[in-house]
Amino acid sequence: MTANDDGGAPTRSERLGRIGVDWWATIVAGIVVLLAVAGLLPKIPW
Amino acid sequence: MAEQAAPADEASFTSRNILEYVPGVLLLVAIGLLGKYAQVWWNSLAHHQHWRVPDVEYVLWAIVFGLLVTNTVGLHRIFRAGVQTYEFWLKIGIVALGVRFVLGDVIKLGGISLVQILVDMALAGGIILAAAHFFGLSGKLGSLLAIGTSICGVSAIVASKGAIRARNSDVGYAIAAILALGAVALFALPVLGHAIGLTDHEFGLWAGLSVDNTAETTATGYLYSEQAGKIAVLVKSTRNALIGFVVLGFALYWASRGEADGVAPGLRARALFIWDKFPKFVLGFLAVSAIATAGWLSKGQTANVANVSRWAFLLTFAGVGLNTNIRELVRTGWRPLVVAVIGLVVVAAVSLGLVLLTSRGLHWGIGAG
Repeated sequence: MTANDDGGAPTRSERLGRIGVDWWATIVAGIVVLLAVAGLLPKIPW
Repeated sequence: MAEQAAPADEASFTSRNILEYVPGVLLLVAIGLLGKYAQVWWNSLAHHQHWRVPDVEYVLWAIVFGLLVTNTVGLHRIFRAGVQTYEFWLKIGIVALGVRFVLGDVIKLGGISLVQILVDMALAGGIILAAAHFFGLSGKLGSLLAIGTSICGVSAIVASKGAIRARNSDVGYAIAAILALGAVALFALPVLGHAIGLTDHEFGLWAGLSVDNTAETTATGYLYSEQAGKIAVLVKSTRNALIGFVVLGFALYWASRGEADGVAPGLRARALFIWDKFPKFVLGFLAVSAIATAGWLSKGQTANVANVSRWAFLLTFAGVGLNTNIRELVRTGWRPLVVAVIGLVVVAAVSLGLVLLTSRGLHWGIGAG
């Protein structure tokens, strides 16, 4: 049973579950780019 | 077909338990690395043996290894959740790829491809709807094929499903047809591109305009060259950005016939509808491109972010192969496939004509950095 089923506020896991894949991908790639801007991204070989 | 049809937002994350993704993601990594090193081994072997053979790119190796696993031993269910995350890696790759584009070039190339996309949509969409009618397909299946083939692939079909109240069987057919054609385009277009003598820029435009599903579009472009891959991703992202407008158009059409739920009237409601369908990762791509354009990244860090994009795409290419089940595609039935093949040929021919006209006739064009 989720929090919504008994009319309560959504749990943290439910709130995270509502974030779509597009936003997750943007968040993850955004963190990578911010680390790069801060000079903290380690060398990524290819 | 359910696993195959895994559309972006609905199926990339199929479980709340993060551990369930681990085996499949490890399989994506293993297949991707196998593909990457197969290219090195192949080239080294050809060099040592003095063979005159083409350089087989890691993209093709990764897809072929994935295809072999799925279509021989099959994909055990323990791997499924992780393997279906390949669209998530694709989107990370696209956002990170923004670092290789100057924002001005994005706007210019986006504008050029927008004109081509609109012409393509009008011509190809009309022909596909006529072909669907000729072969006796339902109006909604015809709409789904037109949306998927001429515009944006599986994500667009999924986005339209609720809006035009399409039947699940029609959605399944349309997605299967789009995926089957994506697989055909993946192998056919690079061969045709080389035979015609297209430049990397021209091929990237062509792949971005004519291949339906974003993962296959990216793979098709990168199969030709890295430069072609970057252009293909940018053009396809422009196509994806139009999903909301197209779905809204079809939703209004079917609602006017009383065969779909009405869209709330008013500009605000329609703007919200379009925003709901808009692929948000395109905003991430633009933001990263703006950061790179502002000069906030050193040359070394730009290369690092670009390599993150390459690794993310590598997992995507492995996922494309692992998610293509040829037996399932053959079971789809011939009529939707025939309509979709007509769609692919029409879209490919119209797109090629537009690319050649704009790049060689009108000399429009811009490169990626």
